[in-house]
Amino acid sequence: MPISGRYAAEGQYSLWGALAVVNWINDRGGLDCGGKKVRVRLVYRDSESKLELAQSLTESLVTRDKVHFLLSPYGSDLAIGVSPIAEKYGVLMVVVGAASDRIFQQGFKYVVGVAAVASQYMWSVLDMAKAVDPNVKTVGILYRDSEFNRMVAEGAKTHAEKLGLRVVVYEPYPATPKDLTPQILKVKAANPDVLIVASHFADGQLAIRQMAEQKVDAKLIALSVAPLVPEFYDALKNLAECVVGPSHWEPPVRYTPELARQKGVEWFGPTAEEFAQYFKRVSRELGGKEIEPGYHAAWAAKGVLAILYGVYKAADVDSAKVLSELGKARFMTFFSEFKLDPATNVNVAHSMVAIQWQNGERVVIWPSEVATAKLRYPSLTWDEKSAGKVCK
Amino acid sequence: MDFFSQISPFLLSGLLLGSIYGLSATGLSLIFGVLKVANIAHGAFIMLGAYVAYFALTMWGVVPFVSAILALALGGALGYLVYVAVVKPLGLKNELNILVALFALFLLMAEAARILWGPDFVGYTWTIGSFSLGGLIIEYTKLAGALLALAIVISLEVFLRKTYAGRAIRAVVQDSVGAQVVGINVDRVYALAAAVGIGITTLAGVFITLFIPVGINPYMGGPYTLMGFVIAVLGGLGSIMGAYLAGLVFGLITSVGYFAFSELGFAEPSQMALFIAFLMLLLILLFKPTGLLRI
Repeated sequence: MPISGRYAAEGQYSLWGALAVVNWINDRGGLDCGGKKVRVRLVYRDSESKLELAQSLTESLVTRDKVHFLLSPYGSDLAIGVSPIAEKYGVLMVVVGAASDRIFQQGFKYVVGVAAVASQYMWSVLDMAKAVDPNVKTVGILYRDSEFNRMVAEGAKTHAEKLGLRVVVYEPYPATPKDLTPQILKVKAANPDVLIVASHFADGQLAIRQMAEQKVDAKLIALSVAPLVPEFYDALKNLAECVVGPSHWEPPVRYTPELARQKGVEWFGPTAEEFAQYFKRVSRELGGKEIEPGYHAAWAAKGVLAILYGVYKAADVDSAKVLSELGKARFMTFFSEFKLDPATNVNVAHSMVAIQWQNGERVVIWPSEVATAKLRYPSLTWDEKSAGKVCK
Repeated sequence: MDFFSQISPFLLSGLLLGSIYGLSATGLSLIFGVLKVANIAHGAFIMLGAYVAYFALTMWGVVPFVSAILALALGGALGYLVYVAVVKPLGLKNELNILVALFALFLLMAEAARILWGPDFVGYTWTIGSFSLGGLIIEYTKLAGALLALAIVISLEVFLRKTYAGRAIRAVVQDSVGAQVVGINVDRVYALAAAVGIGITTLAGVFITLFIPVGINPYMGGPYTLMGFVIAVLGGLGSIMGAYLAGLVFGLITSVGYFAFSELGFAEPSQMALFIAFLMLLLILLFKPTGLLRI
């Protein structure tokens, strides 16, 4: 897991999420494996956000540490790079914090995804826009020129066209942009109803800052990744108001043992409250302060839970047997349901939610069954936001 | 819309940002000109400047134009330390050792920043209004930053030409042995150049946040090192005005180039614009290796 380098923040939260689940299991005596309680050990190395290092550490985890299973490193570029190693040794690797479709298009048997793939990221946002405003006609898409973001943009474009929307701008920008004014001026000229930016953290903040400067208003502005962390609002203050983003998981989204019972599927692992409690403890011990878990942490936790569920069912640590059990599995965790698509090895029972920044809070606005607030539509204009108006 | 109206916002945007690019490369150029040392840690000092701007504003309410002075002083002190503790003990003749040591310093600073300030992407919001010109909305802070960058570069040039210390630096650039013979303390000149060069680089980090006040993080420095070298080589390593002019050219190429390639229907217009910038670097290296302004 990259806990230093460019993915340090996301890698760190993912590691803490995985550790929280491992601690939860071990505090209960360990995992039930064929009637015997077995303690779980998480062996981790810092891949420093470097592909070459991630590859050699993965190899070493398998050959020297003799780990039974692998969690992928955060980042699609790193996860793609280590997938062939898992496949070579026949060790089950659950992909967490990486969503590029290409990871699952290689035909690897031992590489499994527990969340939606990148091309599906903006589906919920576009579905919501169309449902809220049937008159919405045009979409503009800017995307960071990277593996993951390219997939997000391609998926958004295809889905928008499927919904009958016209994509009027479809522009890439460099992976580490210094200035997005040229791209934003192009969006301004096209004036789309919905503006999607397939961004990461820094460029997402920059896009909002420069859209505000150039007063590029749209009825709905959605960004990937960037709006899902509190630093987005801290950095942008009022400019972050009304910004929408797709998320794999948010604390208010409640998958509960009760819901699992109602749906007739098995419940596995901690509840969302228990997970939050364990995550806070890990963050206090390793990071020095208690923080709430976000979706990176929950995603990694789900990865660990998927492996443990497979081991529990197979009563064995053999990857092939665990994989076979996961192929048949239908269970629910605090993160989502789980049902593997045999063609792609991706969890197809997981759907993304959409959030919006409203009055300084990140609220869930879609799908309506789990929404904690209504979408503010159309979005406030930049002039309104600059005047101090908040999205309510 | 006529052609000029279409291109003018891209021209203006490129010029404004180019002014900051130019300022950020002058420190690198000065250090190479005097010490013949490639400051690989350049980006780490840009990062440090960005954090100075961020903390000064968010913790004490000190605006970037004031915190730039603090960054200059901090960078200057660190620059002196880098010379005394890293460059001098290794010996100026050991370019490769210095290169590796500065690379280590770059990594060390990034990791120290992560441990001290966390890996998150932080930023600030500070605006004093804007005006519209040629189809572009320009923040007053950006305009002031770009003009101040020009003023700083001119002041540095005047310092090098009109003051004793500046003339001593130029003498060392021309012939360090000759300078020593006429009584110039070359060691002190090297320390001064390192302090001024890194001071200006750290100050440029503050100015960069006027344009990019968000996404500040421990690892932001890498791309600035690469860009700094491209600009400094384009302008002629050691030439202050050359670096500034090359910064303007780089800003214009990336902005206007994007517009041109986008209009021509290229799939990756921003990458094509960068390609032109690097092509220009290649041509300069082939046909005028001393850079735009050096003879």
